[in-house]
Amino acid sequence: MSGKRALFKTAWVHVFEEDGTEGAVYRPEGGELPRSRRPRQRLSFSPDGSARLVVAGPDDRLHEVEARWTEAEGEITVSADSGAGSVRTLHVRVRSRDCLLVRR
Amino acid sequence: MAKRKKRTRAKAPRRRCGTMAAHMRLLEAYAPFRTRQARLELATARRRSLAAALALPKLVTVDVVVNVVYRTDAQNVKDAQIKSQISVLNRDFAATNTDKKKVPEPWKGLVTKSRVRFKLAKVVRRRTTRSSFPTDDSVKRSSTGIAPFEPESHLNLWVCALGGGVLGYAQFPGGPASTDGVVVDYRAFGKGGSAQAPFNLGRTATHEVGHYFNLRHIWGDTEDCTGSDFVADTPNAAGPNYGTPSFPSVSCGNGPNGDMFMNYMDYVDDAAMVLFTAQQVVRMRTALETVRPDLR
Repeated sequence: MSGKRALFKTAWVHVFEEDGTEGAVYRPEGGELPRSRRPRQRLSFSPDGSARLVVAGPDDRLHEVEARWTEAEGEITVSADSGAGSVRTLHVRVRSRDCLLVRR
Repeated sequence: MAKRKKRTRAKAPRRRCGTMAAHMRLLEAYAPFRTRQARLELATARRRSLAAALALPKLVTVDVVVNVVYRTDAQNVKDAQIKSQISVLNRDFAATNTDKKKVPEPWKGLVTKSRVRFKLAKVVRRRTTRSSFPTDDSVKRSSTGIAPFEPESHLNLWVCALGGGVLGYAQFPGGPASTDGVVVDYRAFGKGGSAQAPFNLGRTATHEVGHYFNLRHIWGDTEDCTGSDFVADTPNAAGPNYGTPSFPSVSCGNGPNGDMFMNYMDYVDDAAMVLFTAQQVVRMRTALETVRPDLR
């Protein structure tokens, strides 16, 4: 994947203002984003197959969730243990060096 | 409309939103929290079924301690800004906010006074070298911030610079006393001074104090129509709204009126959130009178 090096270089932040019918848009951390009551989910990848999700809890705190990622046919699948035997799965496509699309 | 989780086969792996996973971990991390939350849900359900739920509740006054942890002058919010925040809490929880006229016609009858008032008891200030605080409660520790003042009998409210773009966070009833209270970013606190649009009308504290009194987000914290806020008079919604939505905003087959995005427990801008419903007030009052009885 051409953008894979860029994938590891940064954490990716959900820019929900750009979401469309295709899915959720993530941009590299560090850009100017408007403040939002909706906490912004973050996603980061390591070359060893581990990944990390930062999500908001029902009390608006941010929490880290450990995950794993695999790649097949140009799509990255992120699997995170959501507790109580359930698994959260995200299907991610690298759109460009500065844009990930998390499919709905 | 009442919301219920869909029944699924036991133990089958399924997609679930990370928000609920985070809540499950909180419940696991502090055992008394799980017990108290379970008791509180039972008490809330019982009270909802009683006619007493419809009676006018007693007026109670909650003493508030504001803990200001600051590095810059802007973060050291002035007394006037603190007073403006207390005024907003009093106005919103009494449903005397003039912008409640924004509630769409079908829901106007649901606007409800909580009969909870807030009184500023004291302000504690401390300088820090930290540029921002994460949501790990470090601002509530005496080593890195300010420890809560008598949290059983006072609502502690911390004001600081929060990292990660977070405007505020809360602790549900039943958690550890040493971290009890709500935290609000100085840019989303009160009116005037350091408050910045579109979060400059004091509604972040209204939202977080709603959590402190056991209210859940209006969409039930899952983004697939299966979650519930355990409140019967708020429509099921697929996920959070943000900004200033237009009525109606339909999801989860909740037409024609759609999501109650103008509720304080959605994620919209300050100017767009204007009401608590009757059943939300029952839920808050139950928390106040059972798990937080010493606040009164």
